[in-house]
Amino acid sequence: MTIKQGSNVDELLASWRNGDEAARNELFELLYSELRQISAALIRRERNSSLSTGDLVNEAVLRIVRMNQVDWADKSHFLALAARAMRRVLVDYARAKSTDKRQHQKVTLITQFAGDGAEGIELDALDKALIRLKVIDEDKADIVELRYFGGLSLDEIADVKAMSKSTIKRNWRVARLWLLESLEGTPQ
Amino acid sequence: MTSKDLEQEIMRVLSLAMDQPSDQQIAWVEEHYAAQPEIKSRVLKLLQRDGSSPSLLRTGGASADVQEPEMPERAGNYLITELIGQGGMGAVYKGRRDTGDFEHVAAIKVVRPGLFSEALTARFERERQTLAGLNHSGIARLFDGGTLADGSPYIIMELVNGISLARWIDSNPSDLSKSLGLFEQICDAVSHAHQNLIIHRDLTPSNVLVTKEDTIKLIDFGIAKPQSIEEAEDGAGPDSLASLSFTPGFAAPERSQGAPANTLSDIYSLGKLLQALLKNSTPDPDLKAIIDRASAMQPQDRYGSALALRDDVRNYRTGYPVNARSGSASYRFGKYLRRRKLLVGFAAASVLALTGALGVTLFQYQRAETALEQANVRFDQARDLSRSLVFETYDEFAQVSGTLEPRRNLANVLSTYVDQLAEDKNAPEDVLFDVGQMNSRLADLYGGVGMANLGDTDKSYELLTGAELALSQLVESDPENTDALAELVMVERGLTMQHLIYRLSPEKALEYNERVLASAARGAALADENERTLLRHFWSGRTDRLQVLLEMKDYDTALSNVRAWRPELTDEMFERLGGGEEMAAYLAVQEAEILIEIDRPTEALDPLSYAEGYRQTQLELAPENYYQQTQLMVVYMETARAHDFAENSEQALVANSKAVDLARTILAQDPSDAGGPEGLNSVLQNQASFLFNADRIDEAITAATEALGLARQLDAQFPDDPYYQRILMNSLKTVAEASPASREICPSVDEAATLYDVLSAEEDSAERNFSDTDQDLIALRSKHGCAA
Repeated sequence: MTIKQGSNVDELLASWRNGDEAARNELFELLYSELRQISAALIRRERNSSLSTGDLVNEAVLRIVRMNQVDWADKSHFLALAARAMRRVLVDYARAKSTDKRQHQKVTLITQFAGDGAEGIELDALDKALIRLKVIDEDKADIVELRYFGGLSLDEIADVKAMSKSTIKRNWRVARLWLLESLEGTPQ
Repeated sequence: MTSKDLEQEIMRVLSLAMDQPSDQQIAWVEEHYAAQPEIKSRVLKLLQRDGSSPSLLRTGGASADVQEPEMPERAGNYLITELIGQGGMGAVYKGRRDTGDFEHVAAIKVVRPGLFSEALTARFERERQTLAGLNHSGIARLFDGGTLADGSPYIIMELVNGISLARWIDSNPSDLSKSLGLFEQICDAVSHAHQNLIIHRDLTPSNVLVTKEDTIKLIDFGIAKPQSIEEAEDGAGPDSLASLSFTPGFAAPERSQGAPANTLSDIYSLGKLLQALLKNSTPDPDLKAIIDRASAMQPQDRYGSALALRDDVRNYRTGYPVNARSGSASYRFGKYLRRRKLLVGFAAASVLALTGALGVTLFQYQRAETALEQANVRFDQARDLSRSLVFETYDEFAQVSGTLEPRRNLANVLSTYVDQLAEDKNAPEDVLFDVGQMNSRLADLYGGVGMANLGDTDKSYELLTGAELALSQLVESDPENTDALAELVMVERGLTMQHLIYRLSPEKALEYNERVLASAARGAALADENERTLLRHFWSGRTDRLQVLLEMKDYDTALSNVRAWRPELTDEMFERLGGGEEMAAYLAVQEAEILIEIDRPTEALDPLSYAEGYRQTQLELAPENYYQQTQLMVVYMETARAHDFAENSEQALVANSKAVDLARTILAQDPSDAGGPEGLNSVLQNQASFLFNADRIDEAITAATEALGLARQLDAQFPDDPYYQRILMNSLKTVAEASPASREICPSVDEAATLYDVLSAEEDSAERNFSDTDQDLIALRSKHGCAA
């Protein structure tokens, strides 16, 4: 367990609620390191690890929240933050892997068993596209982060964003198409 | 609008569009954003993608996208050392042989369990056996296969040191010649597989590897896919195996409707692959035509084989005209004029040449029509394969007529096919139909009329007779089977032509033609879904009849027939025929040609003006319609001939000048089309002749000289091609005929004589009207005072 001091989380959360960006960043770091540990098993596909990304994010949040008996109302803030932390975990991992690939530059017998068109999603490229999307439409970028990286359900996203479920759904579909298109233009 | 505003607007519009019912979204965007093309096209592009990649960017998908599968320790005699790549249905590892007998490193592909039912796993095993037989430098070799302890099937294959074509495209953005070279290699490899009855099923840039030496290897040869969709009994729902077995964007459209994979669906994927290869450059019209033909929506419109596709790409690379455009109107020009060679120069025109040319066009059109309808008939995979192979072999024959090897191929295909049919216990009628249809198709291959063939007309005749027998039997047992009746009519038309052209027995041809007309009329009267097809056969049969009568030199009957038939083409008949107006215009020209032939040229003017009126109306609707332009040009040329025969040289000049103008328009429309200069050459030669007759010698020489220039240009573009050599020869003769007597013309006459020697050594001496050239040359020599 990497969470050092419960009271610390309480204070951080209170400061964040009062608009303290530094407190938010610290919370993020906490979530990030928590997620990095608990998601390692998921990434390595270890036996008996049947958790989904969404489970992990929720679990990370619950651990922190429950331990510190923080107000439930803060859960949605945590979820959003956790999704962002998860995004960083996964993008970091993908980058490390692709650096590795470039060093070898040998056999890439990449084969598309499932057949999804191109070579699947390059998280690195997606991350960059998402940064662009955020400039154009922040809500849509948030929704993608929560859903794709955070694995959150539509209901959870609706809570986090305080929007109707149908709005979330529509924005998700539009953002998804926009991202897929912009990924197509990106050399992979 | 800043780019940020623009993107916001695009997403807003997309969002509105997606609120529309899904079948109306496109129309909605087109209606509301017609005035904003940039937004319209982006939104339409985005909409197109909707639903196309369901597994990309899904809920929580990020972690799955970075996941590594569990790595097995070993597979068979190989110790697995590292992960090479992975996908949704499995992974590829590198493995080292550790049995101590020899050193070997290989790629090991493992399919995850649970995705294949037991039956499909068995299928996978069988296919693996077949694949083991493939031995081609462009296909990754398969060494062994088996099942892991957990039940996952695996195969051990050649480890290729290379990158995927998708990656290669990005790192070689604009090397056109290299890209086309790779593509030709891919076609070769696919062709090898097809010849071994293996279909790839998922040709995508990810499934082609490129080595450092720029050679290609195909991977994923139908291995991870079920053999056929039919075997996944529950059909092609979104989550069925069928939907997993091909890649959207590269898979042929018929496959998403549940059609089985065949060689033609691989051709489609090759077309898309070529497009992907060229995505960084702007393909010119020829390359576009190649891509379009390969990836045509209708399977029968595609290249018949991977080799035919490869050869066309090679044509392109080496500067020859591409076949993909030969089906288009612009290349038909040349073909038409080819048969109109008698109009060239001062020779009398032949009615037969024209009826032959257009009759054949209609004939082929009907055939395509039949094929289209039969595409709806369900065939199991063996039949489908055989069919594709017959089409494939057909193209092979078209290119290397008379070779032994393809004949052998064909015989093999046929016997395999017939064997397979014999095993089909449940549908004897179906079998008869297939035997009839396949025999009829094979008959075309061996010696069909008006198409490239093996020249074995006896074999062709025999096959047609076989087809007739099978189909007659079928029709006898089920007189209302209009599919069979339509095919029987086609076969009888084939027999008519065989008797007319090859067996030189017009009487027998007439007999068959009577059967054609009777069967087609009976079938059309049944008024079922084949009514239109049969009715078209009926009218095509009538054009055959004219051809037979003209061959018998029975012009009076031909004339009274065509005059009786034309009034039958009422508006109601147009409606029933669907395109009957074309038939009416065609018959009008036929009537005119008969009249010119029997020296009643002034009567020909009336039907010609009917045809002219129809063509002009069509051109008002679509001014750049190439087909109508060329047909109108024919009408003008015929009108000029009629006037010429009536010794009205002024009127002949007026009509032919219109033909010249039209030929110039056609040429300007597509300068890259060889038919353009060819057409202009032909009408200019006629023009020279008419001007000469009107005593306008200087203008005649100018026209003849321009025609000669065009002929030289064509001869330089297609060196040593007898067809263009003949045009050059005739153009030289025309100059010599138009010019006043002068020794300066002798080099032209000599050049024509040299070409004549070359051509007569090569060509079939029986070819009509060719021998006249000899006489003409002697006359020209004496006119200009040249040494013999």
